[in-house]
Amino acid sequence: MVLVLCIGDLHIPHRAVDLPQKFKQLLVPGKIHYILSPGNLCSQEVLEYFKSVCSNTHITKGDFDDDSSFADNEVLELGDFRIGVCHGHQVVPCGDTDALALLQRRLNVDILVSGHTHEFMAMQHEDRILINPGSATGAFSSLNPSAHPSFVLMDINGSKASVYLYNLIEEEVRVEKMEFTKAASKLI
Amino acid sequence: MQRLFGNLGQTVPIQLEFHRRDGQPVKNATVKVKGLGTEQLPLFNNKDSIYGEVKVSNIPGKKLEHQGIKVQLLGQIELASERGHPHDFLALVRDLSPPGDLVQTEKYGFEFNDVEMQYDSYRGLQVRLRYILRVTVSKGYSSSVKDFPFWVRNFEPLAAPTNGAPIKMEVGIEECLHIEFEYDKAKYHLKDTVVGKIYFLLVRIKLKHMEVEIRRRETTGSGQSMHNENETLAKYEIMDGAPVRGEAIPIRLFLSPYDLTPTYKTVHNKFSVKYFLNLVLVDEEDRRYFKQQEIQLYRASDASQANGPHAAAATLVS
Amino acid sequence: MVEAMGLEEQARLLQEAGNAVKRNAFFMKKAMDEDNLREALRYSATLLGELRTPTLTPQRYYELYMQAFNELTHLQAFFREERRKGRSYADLYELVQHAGNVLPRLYLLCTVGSCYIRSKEAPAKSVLKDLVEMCKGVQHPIRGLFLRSYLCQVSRGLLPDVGSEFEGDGGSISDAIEFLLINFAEMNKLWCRMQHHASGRDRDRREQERQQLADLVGRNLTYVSQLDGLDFALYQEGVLARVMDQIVSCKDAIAQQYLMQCVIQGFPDDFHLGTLDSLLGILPDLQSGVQVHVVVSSLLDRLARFAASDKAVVDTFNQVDAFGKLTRAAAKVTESENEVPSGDVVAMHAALLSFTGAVYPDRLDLVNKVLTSAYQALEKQAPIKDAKAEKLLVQLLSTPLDNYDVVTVLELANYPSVMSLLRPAKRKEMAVKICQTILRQRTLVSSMEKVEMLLDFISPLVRDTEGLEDDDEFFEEEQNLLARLVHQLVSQDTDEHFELLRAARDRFNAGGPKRLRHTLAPLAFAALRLVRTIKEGTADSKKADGACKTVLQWIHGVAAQLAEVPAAEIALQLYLQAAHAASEVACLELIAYEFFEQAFILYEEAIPDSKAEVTALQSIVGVLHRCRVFTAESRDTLVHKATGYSAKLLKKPDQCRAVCACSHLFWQELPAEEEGDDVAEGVQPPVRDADNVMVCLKRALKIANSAQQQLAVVLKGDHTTPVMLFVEILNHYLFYFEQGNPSITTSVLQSLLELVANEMANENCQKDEALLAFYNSTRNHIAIQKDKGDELAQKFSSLQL
Repeated sequence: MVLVLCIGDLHIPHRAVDLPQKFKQLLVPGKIHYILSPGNLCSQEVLEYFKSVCSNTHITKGDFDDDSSFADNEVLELGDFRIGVCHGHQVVPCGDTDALALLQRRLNVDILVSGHTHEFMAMQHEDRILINPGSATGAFSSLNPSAHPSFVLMDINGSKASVYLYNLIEEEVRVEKMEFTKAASKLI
Repeated sequence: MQRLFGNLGQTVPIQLEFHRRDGQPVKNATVKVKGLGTEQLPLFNNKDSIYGEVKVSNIPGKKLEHQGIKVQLLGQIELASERGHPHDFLALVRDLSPPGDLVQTEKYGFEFNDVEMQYDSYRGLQVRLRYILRVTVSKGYSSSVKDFPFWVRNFEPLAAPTNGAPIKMEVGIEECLHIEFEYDKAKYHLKDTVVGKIYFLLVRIKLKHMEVEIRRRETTGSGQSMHNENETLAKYEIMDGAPVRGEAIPIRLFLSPYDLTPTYKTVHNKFSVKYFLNLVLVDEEDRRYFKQQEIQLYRASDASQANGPHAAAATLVS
Repeated sequence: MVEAMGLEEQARLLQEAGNAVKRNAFFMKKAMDEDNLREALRYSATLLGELRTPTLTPQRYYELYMQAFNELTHLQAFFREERRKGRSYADLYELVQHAGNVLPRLYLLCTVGSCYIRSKEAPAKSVLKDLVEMCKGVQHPIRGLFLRSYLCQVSRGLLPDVGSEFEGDGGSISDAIEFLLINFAEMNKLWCRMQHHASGRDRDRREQERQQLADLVGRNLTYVSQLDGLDFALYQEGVLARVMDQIVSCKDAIAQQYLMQCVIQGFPDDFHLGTLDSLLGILPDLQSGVQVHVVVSSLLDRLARFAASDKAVVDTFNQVDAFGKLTRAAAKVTESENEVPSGDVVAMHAALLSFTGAVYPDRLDLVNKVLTSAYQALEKQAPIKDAKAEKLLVQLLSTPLDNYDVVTVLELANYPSVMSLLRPAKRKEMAVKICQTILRQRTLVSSMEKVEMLLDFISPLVRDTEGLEDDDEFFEEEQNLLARLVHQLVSQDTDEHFELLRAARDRFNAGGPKRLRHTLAPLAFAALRLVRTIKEGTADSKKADGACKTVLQWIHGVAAQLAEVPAAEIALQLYLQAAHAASEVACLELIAYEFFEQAFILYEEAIPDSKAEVTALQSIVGVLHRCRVFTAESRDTLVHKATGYSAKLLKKPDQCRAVCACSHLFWQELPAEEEGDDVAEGVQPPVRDADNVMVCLKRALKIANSAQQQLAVVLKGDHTTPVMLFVEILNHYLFYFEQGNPSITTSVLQSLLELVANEMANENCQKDEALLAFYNSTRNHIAIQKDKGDELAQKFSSLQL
């Protein structure tokens, strides 16, 4: 059982003051095994905060990150899954599932964690899973002006991934759960 | 004992029993023996009548010839300086038997009525006052004499608590130590408790502790030959540590544990016994400061003595 | 005597004394077994005689005391047994007093005394009175303290408290109080006296030893406070006055400090509230060494907690004018002596302030009074240089920030004056605190005056300050705070909101480039958000357009300024965001175009390296793809530029991918059907230019091809990157095929599939796992499409894998 926090597009300080207090209360240090962030943290402090929650962080570079140590994309294997992380501003059309699936095939990942659209999403597309944790601060974006703060927690257990979507709506944290199973690859 | 009360040329077994008129057994007094231990002696008061029975035994089968048997009641004062020459202040005699032969053990009753025994028995360092019954079986020039000591104590009625002003005095060394001490009264019975207080009015020396001593002074002789002998009978620590100005330290000294006698004033012009409370302060350099104060001791009659379960409660500070 | 003795020596002495205690305890118990009272008393007195030692330190003496203490419990049992056999306690009480030494005698007396009381043979009050008086015989501080502490301990539970079995004949609560207070006073005298026994150089050590003994003295007061019958009237009349008297008259700083705390901590809050006058009244009489502020502070803390626990008592606070009294007391402390250290003054006011916060959460006027008082007390010492005082002053200023609305606090008349007492470095620290608080509380700063005032307060962050060097370590953090703060400058009124942002920018300008790098971007984003608010909230579309234009122009300026900082990358991104807003929110084509122009200029002139170029171009293409405001002509120009730059990227793979991305610029998404009829004015229909898509894809293939040839020369053909690109391009083909792009026919796709299949046959490619995986998943994707059984599957069915 591996707990994976997917969180991104915080845009602190450019567009947001801070992570919502309610989220901070949920993200207790020591519980989470991995943090996967598609980027746009925008400040060193956010990175340090991530590291205080979990030392095992995989962060890719967003269009507003100036930390050159962040890679364009990252791939790691957890349980039976290959998981890719990429911010998504590189993908045209932005947020398009087919376009993301293209990237997914290129990286050969079962799960792609991307961001950029500030619109959280978790879905099965063809035989793969697409996850966008949205903006953890609900940062303003002209792509999605009414974004709520959100993040995603994945619980990976062998070939099963339980995905919890945390959404802060009117000061209340709402959680949705989705279950995915890795499909056996079809032989051709 | 033998030496002191020596029975000269003793050959005749002589015994003596004290009786009381009412037939009750004679009370005993426990008296300290010089050195160690105690002895029990028959106890009488002034004006008591002394009854008894003398038993003279002969050696079985032998006839004892004598020139008379008598019993004397003697009151003597003996000074250490005049050892062997006691001064008799009281001498009474009763003849028990005219000269004759003693063929068997004979018993002779005797009585001394309302004897004037105004002085207490006393054993001091250099003087003693004693009472004896002396039985003499006269046999020409080798008489058999045997002494039977007894003890005399006299009582006074219990003084009223208000009787006698407290002893109060301010003493000290100028600019160094001023204290005021206060004993509740000047006159105590022998089982009394000395209650008092020491007020420290000025303390510029570092005291270590303070104690109260009971001292006895025997005085013999007079004029040029007057001699004093002092003896400390009790040391009782009443303070540990250095007080500061304004402190008042309580004194409570029980007299009963100590071997005290009443105060005796010029007993038969021979001797006096006085008691003192001596307050001693000791500083950190072991210098001693003291103040001695005479107290009167007296023996209260048993019945009137504050004794029993409420005595101690009465000594709780009020 | 105890002075220069080593620890080892102390341990040895303790060991010896302890052994003597054990030895005598043995004989004592033996005598008890033999029922020999006289001997038992004799040995117990000898045992206790060990406590007469003058050489042990308090710590060691305590250990010895505890040993003796344990043995005395046997003695108590023995006394009870004697009593059972018919000997009266009165008798025993006298008997133990025959002991010649005062210390053992008094220990024995206390021991019998406790049994005596318990037996009720004598009234508790009489015995207690006797014991407490007789104990005066020990005047040695340490020995006396322990003796009296023993007395206190053995008499616990035997006091004629209300409801106790010893009440009545045994006395009343006043006797219990009397007993404890006398013992307390005597112990305190002894305790204070310890100090006089020390010469100058052992003073510290002696003070330390005294602290160790403090609790022995305080225990008396604790016991008083624990008496069931202690009510307020008794406390006020019978206890406090005498305790205060003792505190004042002992004239000893350590004792006064400790005992004041003892009283404050030991007795109930409502008692304190009722006796505030007495408590505060003696403060001026305390010794100069007493940290009066600590005393006042702990009183304040207690009262504050009291108020917090029960809101109803606040009325009582008001009835007795607690605030007024405490404030005056604080002022008096600072006035009464000239040399109250600034730190103490501040600490006291800090406590006063937190009290005020707890008791009167709504009374900002009182906060201001406290600040006034603090300012008056410290004015002469400004600027505060003492490190501790500085720190405390920062705390003092921080307290109201936590309890009240920050911005309102800043408006308090004396807040700035108190802050001005600080040196620049601390003023900056305060500025940081203020920012942090606003951010934590998410306080909105919504009027011009408030923004100006806030920026005044935090000016050490906004601009260089004389006498203050920027600490590199924290500089970025501080500027981040400032940057975040921008989002709190918000007004409901969009015009005013914009004014607030302008005002902030004007101030930020003074901070120079190193600050602007951090602070400009948030301003621009806040303004971008404002554009949307204006557009959505303004009914009059002309008016909305005008307002949006103004704001966008302002953003333009901000971005331009950011470019000059220089911070070209972020400036470029900002232009793009602004362009998107201008296009998609405001529908202002010219302005959107201008922003793109600026982005391209920056791209050409200011982007530092190839990697940054790739990112910038990706962003340009991504945003441009989404913009629907452009007419064909302007759009052509922009797309042309984008594709042009794509083909000029340094690395072939980047070129290839960028060109693929550009292909999408000719193929915009169709609007979702339900929106279809309701297109905003100025929005152009989506571009679906199949031919140009094809042109782009072919160009991509060409780049991949030339990359392959280039590599073939250099690396002799064993590099698989170009094949990777082929597979990627294939995927783009498939994307358009699925989208129904007419240029991508089945045959076109089929031939590319074959080309790729040929390439894949290469040995190197078969060894490249990543490539294989990409290729296989692409084929898999096609297989899935075939299987779908929909219209698209029909199209796919003719494809041969």
